[in-house]
Amino acid sequence: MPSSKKTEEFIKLYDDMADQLFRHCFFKVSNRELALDLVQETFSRTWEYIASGKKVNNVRGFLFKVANNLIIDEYRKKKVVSLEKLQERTGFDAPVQDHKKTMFSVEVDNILKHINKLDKKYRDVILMRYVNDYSPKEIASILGESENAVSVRINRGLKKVQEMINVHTSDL
Amino acid sequence: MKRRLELLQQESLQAALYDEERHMMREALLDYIHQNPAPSASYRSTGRSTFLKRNRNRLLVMAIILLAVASVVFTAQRSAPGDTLYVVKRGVNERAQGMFAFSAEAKARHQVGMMEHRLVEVIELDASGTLTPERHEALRADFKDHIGVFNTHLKSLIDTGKEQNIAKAALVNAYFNTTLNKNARGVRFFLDINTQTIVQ
Repeated sequence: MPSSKKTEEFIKLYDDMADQLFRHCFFKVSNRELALDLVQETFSRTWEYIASGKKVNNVRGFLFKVANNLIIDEYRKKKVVSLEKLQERTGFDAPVQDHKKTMFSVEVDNILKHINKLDKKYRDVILMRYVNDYSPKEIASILGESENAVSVRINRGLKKVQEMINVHTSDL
Repeated sequence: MKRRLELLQQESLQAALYDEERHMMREALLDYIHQNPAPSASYRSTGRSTFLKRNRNRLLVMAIILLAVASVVFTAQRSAPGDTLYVVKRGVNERAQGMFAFSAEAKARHQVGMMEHRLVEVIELDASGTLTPERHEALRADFKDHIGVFNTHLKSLIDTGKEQNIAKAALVNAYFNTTLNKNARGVRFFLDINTQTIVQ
């Protein structure tokens, strides 16, 4: 018999984390359907791992790791259109609660374009900080790094974004 | 820049699951969980279960070793001179019992217990027709040693000069005599040994 307590705990985890994981996947794969599949697969695999009796200390970090691995797998399959290309083509297309498709504001669209030009190590922490609204401490916990290292990386990443914006503005 | 980041934070929140998507995914996940139950799984494992999981094999080996040792000790307790496990009985069991005798009175009583073991052993060996001269001699020597040690402890009680300790010595001596009387059949095998104590 499955433990109802464990099931309840895991479903509560789903309720808490589903949107955050969806956002994380969506901003990386820029494909809503694919992001949904990735979230579903992330939770299924995490449960499978727990059901096999293995221990998970930081379950939120574990969910993000599973999601990131699945995203990498998708990139390897070359099924994903890069965010940058998508933005260049049409502007970023975001899903909204009222089922209407809306565009991000020009300013947000612009800053996202620059963020996605950053190296992965800067891009990931900035997206987690400003898209998922995690504190540096939470990001550090998820990535298994120090809070200080995460804060430094966010600041350096933002400086690079600022430089890109400045160059872009001066070109106009 | 700051304003742009604030806008990004606000507008990012629009990227969320629709209610029906969240509900459907939740139902699909529940189905998956019921198909793949986890009776003892938890991502919030307690220290106890983790310890048991990690050390399961070691604990199993330790339990087997303890069981084996307990079996040997228990079987050795019934062994007689000449048996393989008699060494364990004398070297481990009886020595271990003696370790818990701290006072002179307790040590003297322990020696009486050992004497009774030797008396019972000689009776049993004689009854089974296996009391060889070597075994007889070995038991006789041990019995004599026990009486010697017993007398030493008895003397140390009396030498204190305290009435309380002298009374204790008398009681232990009575216990000694009772044991000899109870195993009189065995005592006849050690007739050459002086069983008179300093109290008598």
